[in-house]
Amino acid sequence: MKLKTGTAFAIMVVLIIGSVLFGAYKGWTEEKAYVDATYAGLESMLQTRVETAYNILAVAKRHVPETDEAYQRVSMDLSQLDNQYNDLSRKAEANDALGRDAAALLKNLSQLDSVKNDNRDAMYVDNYLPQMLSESEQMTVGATYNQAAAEFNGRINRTFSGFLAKLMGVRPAEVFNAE
Amino acid sequence: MRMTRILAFVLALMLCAGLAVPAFAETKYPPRPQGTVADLAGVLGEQTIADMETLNTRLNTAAGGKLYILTRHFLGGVNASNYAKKVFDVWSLDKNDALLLMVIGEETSAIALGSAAEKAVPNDTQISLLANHFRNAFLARKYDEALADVTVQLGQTLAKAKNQTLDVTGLFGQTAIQSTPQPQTTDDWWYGMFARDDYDARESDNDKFWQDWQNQWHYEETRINWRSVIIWGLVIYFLFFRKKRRHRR
Repeated sequence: MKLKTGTAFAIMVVLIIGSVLFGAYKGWTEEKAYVDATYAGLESMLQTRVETAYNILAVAKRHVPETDEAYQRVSMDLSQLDNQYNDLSRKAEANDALGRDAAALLKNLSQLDSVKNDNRDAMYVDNYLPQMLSESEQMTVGATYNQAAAEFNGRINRTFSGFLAKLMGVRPAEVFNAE
Repeated sequence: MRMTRILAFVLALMLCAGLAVPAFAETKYPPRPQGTVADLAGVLGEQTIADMETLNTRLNTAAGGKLYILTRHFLGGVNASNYAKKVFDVWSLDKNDALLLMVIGEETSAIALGSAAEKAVPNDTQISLLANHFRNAFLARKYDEALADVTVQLGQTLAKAKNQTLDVTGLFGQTAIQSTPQPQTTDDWWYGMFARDDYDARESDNDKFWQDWQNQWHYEETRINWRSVIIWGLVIYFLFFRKKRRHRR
């Protein structure tokens, strides 16, 4: 069976386009899987934030009622951050809010006489808990996932194969903005 | 070829499983102390710790068990009783041993017992011991006093169950009242504050994993893919040049 030049050329073009698209899809999907694999590390870092919030509330409830506005805010941020069904952007929002609200609660606590007169809790409020809050924030921002997701998104957005992969349905990695 | 693909898929699954495992290993436990006291919160006096070691030597001789002590600042939302039981397992304590957990910043405590010790000190006796010989002094931040009282009572109960008596003469007599946690080393601070995860180790693994992948990606990006060049060369040859040669005839 003889193949006309035009048909052969069309087959070749289809083959080339198909294989380029498939290659782009396969390669970028594989790389996305690597980015996703580092997500467990971010979750782990977020747990330091969850722990910090629990500890701040444990001290706070000895000095302010649970209906206190600042206490309520931290409590709400904690439940958002600790909710496994929340997506990354909601957790990032809760994480941001926790940084602000927990700092505000600690500031309020440090001004209370009941804390000032309590050596142990004053030490927690003035030293240990702010240190925990700050360290957990640094750890979360510096998580490998954030770096991996940013690099993946940068590459997929600036390369031709990345453009093709996006046409084939590969989505950029979800970014966790802790700032 | 098919086998290679299956093998690659299985390896990929194993890799994913390996990375996923730490996500479920949610609690971090301090290492077992050299003696019987791990005072991570730094609330116990030196004399109390020394007396605990002596008490344990005597108890071990009389009843074959030891009383271990762990103090922490916080548990970050983890249940104290569950945490104590886990530490008991992680430290591989004996069936005759007991562990008392004191969580200073949360003002909670818990006891975990080995199977034999639990028969000698059932749950209601544990509750009674903590209520009558620990709780008040603990809440008043007389940590040495609280510890001395409850461990003597617990030790005597364990010894009595084996028809023995525990000699406590000369112990805890000069208890210093330690109400404020003492400054600690960085490691102690870390263990005393964060409870759940081996955060550093996990992030370090992740970082290494990602760096390896980055290196591989740059290698793939820069090298010449000879296999593709050959395949495309063959495709172009068969589609055009072979045909052109036939035309010449």
